Amino acid sequence: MKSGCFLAAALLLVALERPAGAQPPPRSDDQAKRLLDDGRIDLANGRAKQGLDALETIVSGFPNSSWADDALLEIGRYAEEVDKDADKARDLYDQIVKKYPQSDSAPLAYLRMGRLAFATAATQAALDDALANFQRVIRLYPESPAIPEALVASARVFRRAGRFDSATDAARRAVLDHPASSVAPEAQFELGLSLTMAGEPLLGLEEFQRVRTNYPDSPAAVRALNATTALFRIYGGDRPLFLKDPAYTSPGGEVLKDVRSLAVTPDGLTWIASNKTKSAVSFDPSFALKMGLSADDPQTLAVSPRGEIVFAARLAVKVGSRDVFSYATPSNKPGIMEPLDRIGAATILVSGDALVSDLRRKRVVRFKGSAFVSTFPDSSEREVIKLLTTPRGDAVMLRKDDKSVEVYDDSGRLVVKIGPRGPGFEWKKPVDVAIDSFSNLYVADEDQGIFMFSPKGALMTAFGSSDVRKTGAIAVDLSGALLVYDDRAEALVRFK
Amino acid sequence: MRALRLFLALALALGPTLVRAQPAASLVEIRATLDLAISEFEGPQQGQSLLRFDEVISRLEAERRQETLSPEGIDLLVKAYEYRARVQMNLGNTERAADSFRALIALAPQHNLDAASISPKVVDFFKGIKAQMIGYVTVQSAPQGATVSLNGKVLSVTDFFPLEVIAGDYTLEITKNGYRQESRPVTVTAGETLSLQFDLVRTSASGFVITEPTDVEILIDGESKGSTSGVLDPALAAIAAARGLDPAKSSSRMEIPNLPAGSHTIEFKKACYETLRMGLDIPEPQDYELPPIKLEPSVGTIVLTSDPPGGQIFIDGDAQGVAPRTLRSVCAGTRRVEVRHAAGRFVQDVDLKARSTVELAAQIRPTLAFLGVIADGPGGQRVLPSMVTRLTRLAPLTIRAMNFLKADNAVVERTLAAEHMKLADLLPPQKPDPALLRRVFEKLAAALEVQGFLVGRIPEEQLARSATLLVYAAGSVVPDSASVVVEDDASYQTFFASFDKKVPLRTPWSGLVTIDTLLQEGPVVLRVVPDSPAAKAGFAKGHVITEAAGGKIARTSELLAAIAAVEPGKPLSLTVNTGEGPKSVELPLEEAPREIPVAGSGALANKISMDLRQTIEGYPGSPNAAFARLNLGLIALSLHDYAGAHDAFIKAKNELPSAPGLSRGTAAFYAGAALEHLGYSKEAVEEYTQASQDAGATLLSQDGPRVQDIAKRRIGALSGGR
Repeated sequence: MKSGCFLAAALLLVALERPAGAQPPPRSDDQAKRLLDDGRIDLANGRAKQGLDALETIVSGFPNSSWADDALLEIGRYAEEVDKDADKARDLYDQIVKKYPQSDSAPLAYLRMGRLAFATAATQAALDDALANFQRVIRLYPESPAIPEALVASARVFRRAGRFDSATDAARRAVLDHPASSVAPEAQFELGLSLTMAGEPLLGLEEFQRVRTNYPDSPAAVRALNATTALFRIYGGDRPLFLKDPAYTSPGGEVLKDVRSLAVTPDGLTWIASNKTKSAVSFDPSFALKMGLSADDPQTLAVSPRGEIVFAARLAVKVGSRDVFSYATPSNKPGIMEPLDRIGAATILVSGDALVSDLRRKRVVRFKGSAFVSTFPDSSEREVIKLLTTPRGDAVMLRKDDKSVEVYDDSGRLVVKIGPRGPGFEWKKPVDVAIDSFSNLYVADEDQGIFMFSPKGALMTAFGSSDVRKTGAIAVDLSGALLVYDDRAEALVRFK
Repeated sequence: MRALRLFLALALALGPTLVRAQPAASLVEIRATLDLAISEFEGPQQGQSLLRFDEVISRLEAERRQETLSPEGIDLLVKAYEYRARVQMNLGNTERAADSFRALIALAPQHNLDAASISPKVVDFFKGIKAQMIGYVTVQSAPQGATVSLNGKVLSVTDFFPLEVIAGDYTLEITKNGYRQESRPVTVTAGETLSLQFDLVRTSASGFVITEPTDVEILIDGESKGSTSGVLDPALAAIAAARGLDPAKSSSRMEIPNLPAGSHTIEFKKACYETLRMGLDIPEPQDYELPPIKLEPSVGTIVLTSDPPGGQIFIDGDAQGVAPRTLRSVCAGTRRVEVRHAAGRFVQDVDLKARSTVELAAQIRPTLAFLGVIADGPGGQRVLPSMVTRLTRLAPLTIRAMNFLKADNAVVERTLAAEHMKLADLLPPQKPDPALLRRVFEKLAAALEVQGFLVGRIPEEQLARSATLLVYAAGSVVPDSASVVVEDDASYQTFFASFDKKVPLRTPWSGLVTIDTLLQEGPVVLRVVPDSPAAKAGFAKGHVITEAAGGKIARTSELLAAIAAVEPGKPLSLTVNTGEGPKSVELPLEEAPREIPVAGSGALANKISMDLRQTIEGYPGSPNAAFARLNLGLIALSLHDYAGAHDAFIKAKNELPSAPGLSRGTAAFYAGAALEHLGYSKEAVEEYTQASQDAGATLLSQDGPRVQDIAKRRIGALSGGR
């Protein structure tokens, strides 16, 4: 905080309390600054308790110093990033914007509050809340260095909310007005994404390429190459073109037997869930074996909005490498919960809630943690064998019972339904569904190969029937290429 | 008390002046007393004047005794003696009058009384006294022109008629250059004439010469003996003409005296003429007539063009017209050629040989004025001189793209004083009103004839080790800054090197828009700009470029680098996979305007601004000037100088055509952006609306994103009250 009147008041108090003849005490600002430096050093070196104590001392002992806002921000960061205590962090950030609205920490606090809200924003109201925080940064602190980040964050909120024009506009402002900011590569990437989602994939392609040209060393440049590859495959010609990659060599061994599901996480790992090995194992792009998760009767793999693998087995769901959830739902007898013992699929929504397919009762159930919330989207029977979450946060369900794919938003509203037949296609036995970064859907039909649909459910292309003898699990890799398990050949085929 | 204080203050202020002025004031006072005495002498109470004449004589004689009396004082003394004698005569005191006249005659032997205004009786009395004191001296010499002195005091130059001299014994000396000095004792007797004749003995020679042109310096053995001058005596015209001289342009006959016997080198020198050097033998001391000398002009030609044109040419500081211009008859030698332009200046020392031609393409460069260093504390004051020395030494050595000069402090202070400001008031952390800052810097730029400013600031620290260097373009309100270590040359040089980063307004352009993918081994054509070189060469979407300029390429960045490296007018060799096998294409390129990427380029925004202003002022009305104006606005925008940006964009909008690529719509869009930053949403929407009507306009480059789409989205956002 850089407020002169607060500082003057603090100095006056110190002067009044000083006993006659004593040495003048150090200025409260200096003391606070020293404590802040000490606290930061302690936190950086793993001495959390000492560090937080020092910061708390500033907040309680020198609330009017120029550094109280900085101390609160540091404590908030720690709560958010280390303790993962979003509520506490939000409360601390809220204190900053209320007590020190003119401080340089205030826009950062708004930014962080917005991010916290956005991280779990599944409803329009929650998105509006996140957006309001980002817009406060832009509107109230026009000279703040946090502006570019607030613009990019706004663009993401708009995109999640389906307001693609606004998303494009916000990202464009970040790109044009702040080309030297540290988030400029992300802004340019977001612009590409927003344009693509706004139905202008060729313009999006140009923006992704600008990420590569203007910021070649940024992490975004690598993602941009994947994006240009994926988009050019789809929009480079008259229609999407997926060709079998002759250079791709499938991994072999037991793990390629009785494969139930495939997934590719944002870190580039390919996951294979095999009933033969009773596990899901991951490989990096050079086929080096990475992490593995074991489970009896593996069912499906999905990727959570945070990029974690979601491994559904018959009795439990593993999220990432640590969290294992088993579930129970209310029975017909009041107060009695029945465990889910035939889980068919699972995914994690943006809100953090889990959707789990209960094959015994032919329903999809929503859980918060392991706690039952409701059936989803309603209590109608559905035999769902695959669940996914789209980049926008919608839930995708592959229904075995009526051979269709349904997409619902977080509130349970049907967004699109595809199949079992439509213009140019009729599925015989859909066995898997996958989604790419741009929300295009891929449906694997055991006998007919792969069908690709736009986010609105229009058939874009079909391929693979001549290259795969019996189509099994599918997944889209980071560059938009499709990995297909050939159930008969017990091998992976890549369509690039 | 207050009056005393004022007096003391005045005394302190004027003290030194008063002390210095004392002798002059004394003479003025004496003259005033003398004038008063004379007016009393002319009036009814003549007798009262005597005391005043006494006082005057007493004071002047005192000075004369100290040998501090000026010729003017002697005149006053002579006058005082004359009047006192006349008073004494009128009072009947002839004895005293005779004493006064004697003193007068001793002081000025040639003095006579004005017989027309003074009584004959007094005049006769004076003559009688003078006859008793004065003898006459006349001297003749061969040759004439010798100086005669008596007891070291110059009497006259021979030959002269008898001159009045106080009777007595003297040592007479006669001197003339080139002749032996003669000296002898003489006695001057009152009423008699001493007549002397000298045949002077020659000791050195003299040379006589005529030159064309005049004002030729003559050196004997490297020592200057003066320059020829005047006009030629008509009697010598024929001689001069016979030697090829134009008598009308020739000098008078000049004597070169005191030439000792022996061999000498004589040189004839004049600026812009070939120096003539010849041997001169002096066997004996006599007069030598040198042949008339004609110097040949030593001039060359300078053919001068300037970029931008229209600069004022100065050769060695003399105005020579406006570039482009061919300057004939420029004096050979090292000439300082300067071209001054509103956009900057060009300075170069040219070694011009006689009868040669030098072609000079003057690249006008902006000039950076060093305004000084501000130290905020005593620690900074200590290192300030060291920093100033480093700055003034390293900047001109390191910066190539700009002229560097130390600003005239008086001009800076005067300009700032007119705005009631000090230099420190202009600099961060102070936040002066941007409009005021802009005005001050523009005034300073005009006063110093520069385009930018460099200033240092040492913060208040106990041990000041680092400082901030700030660079402002004239008209800019936000500086580029860098931190330097005060005692570390390298830190300054790193910053100064950034002044030389080139960021051209136009770059080679193909019209190809390519992307990288993991699907192809080379950049893939995504789009071809209509009517571009690539369109004319038959490129189409999906073509894959595998080689450029003879080397394999895998990425768009490599293709862009190859395009940027192509020399103007030359094609770029490409290998293209069109789906029917590889094909070689020679792609001719165009030079196309672009938005200069300041961010990440390592260049200084203010330096780029100076370059852009040069284009604007150097080529007014040209397309480049309009594009420069657009970029000037973008730089102001990036520096958050939104008012400056808006001004530039509006001007660019008026100058740019409505056309595909960077054009009027581009400027309108950015004018809207600037207005938005300034808080004028309604006006911004109007600009965005104009921009959206320019269907072909783009941002960034000729193949950049379309303004129309972006402007429409902005309108939507603003209209939606987001």
